[in-house]
Amino acid sequence: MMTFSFSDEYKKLLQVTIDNLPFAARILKAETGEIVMINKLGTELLGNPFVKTDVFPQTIILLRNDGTIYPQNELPAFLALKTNAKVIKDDIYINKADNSKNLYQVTAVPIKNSQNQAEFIFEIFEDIKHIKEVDRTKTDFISLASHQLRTPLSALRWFSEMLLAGDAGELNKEQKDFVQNISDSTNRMIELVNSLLNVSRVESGRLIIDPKPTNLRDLIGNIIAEQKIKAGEKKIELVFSIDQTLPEINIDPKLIGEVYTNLLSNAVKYTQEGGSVKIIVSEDQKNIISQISDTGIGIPQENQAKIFQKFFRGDNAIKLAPDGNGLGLHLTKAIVESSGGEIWFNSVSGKGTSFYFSLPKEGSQSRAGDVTLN
Amino acid sequence: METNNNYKILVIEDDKFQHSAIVTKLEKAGFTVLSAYDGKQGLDQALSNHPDLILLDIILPVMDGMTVLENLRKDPWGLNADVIILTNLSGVEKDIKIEENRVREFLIKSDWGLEDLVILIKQRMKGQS
Repeated sequence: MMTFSFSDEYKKLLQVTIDNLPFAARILKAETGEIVMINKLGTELLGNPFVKTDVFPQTIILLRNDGTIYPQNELPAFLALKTNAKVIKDDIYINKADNSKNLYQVTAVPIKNSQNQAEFIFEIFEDIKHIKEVDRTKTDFISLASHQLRTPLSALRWFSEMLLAGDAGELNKEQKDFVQNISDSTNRMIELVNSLLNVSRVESGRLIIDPKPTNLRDLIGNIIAEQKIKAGEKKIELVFSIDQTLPEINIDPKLIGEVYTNLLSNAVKYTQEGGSVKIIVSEDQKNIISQISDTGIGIPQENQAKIFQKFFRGDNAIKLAPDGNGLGLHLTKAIVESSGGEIWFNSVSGKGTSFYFSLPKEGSQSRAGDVTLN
Repeated sequence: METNNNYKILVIEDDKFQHSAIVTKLEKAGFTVLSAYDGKQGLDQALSNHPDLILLDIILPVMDGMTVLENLRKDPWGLNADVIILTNLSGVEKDIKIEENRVREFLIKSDWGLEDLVILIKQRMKGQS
């Protein structure tokens, strides 16, 4: 077996290199787990294995969030050795000398010889408490800012609603029109705040994905029912086609419902009177494919590359419906992708648009997360 | 005016404009309305007046809505008190432990019209009788 050999110069070079890394690092012998090198931050965090002292523990104990000992056979170094590949875990806690508990991301990389056998394990410990806190602060800020915006908006909504309902006496035609304008603008602002909140949640990566066996026929049926009034006002024909034998699919119905709602309401919004909107659900070997097609205004060729960008709206869409906020398709794409699917479209300006999205038949991966969509 | 005045609703809401709107609408719908502007006041009112329904905000001065709810559930009467959370803080359902705390509804204020809220409360009354 070929083994590594180091001259004193190389050892020194390596020691200086790892001493200047911005995180705790050590190198272990794969065979015995013995520490052969450790950097300064490593010694501060994990103790110096080469000095006999009572101050530093010789072996540190890695913990789970609940304070129990992290099982040895689940530790990155162990797994890196077992799989002969790099392993990263971001849920490891270490009790520091002052008894405070910190969260670390631990990475273990096997260092292999020419026979592809791991001789050493390079292990690094990154303090990620701060990163997690920044993430949380960012989301908390958005939540709080939205809360502060919604407070006056709710009051505006409620008082204009009461005025329109005649709770403060009957309004004349002009008064009614004015209050209706206040009410419509308020609702538009509420929708914008809701969309911004949803986008920030999806982007934070902390969204809860809770897949349940779902009957797509029922899910889509309910969403179509919600759109029927608007479609009826514009005499738009709604067609729904789905294979009766399609099995249930394991998806988060709230998230995927949001996808159908966005695509269907867009289709109705951007289709002129007398047009038609079709929803067709089919399957291939691996995926369930949903198609939402309309005979609407289409997406101009020059706008197509940007259509999923945050706040972007097609030139003709702005003219037809000035009140959109350009967040719906961005959010839709983010949800589809976090559910394991893909989204695409084809469109001809003035003729119509077809959006397609896939969902893996095996279902979406669940994610514990800690926030839900609005 | 309708006659729902046997049904007592406690509104715990610190924002004076929202408070005024909810109370006005509920009174016009004929309900008997009790008011509290902070969490502590709300909890005291709930435990002494035993309302049929509590509309509870989350972000409140003195005592937040979550603490009100926790304290309420420790009381023999409050254990089964009917609570609707009416807040503008969304995405926190997991923290509020809706099922564990037996919250009947979690409503986002800005997404709900007051007329719809009244309809919901009336449905609840029918469900109870």
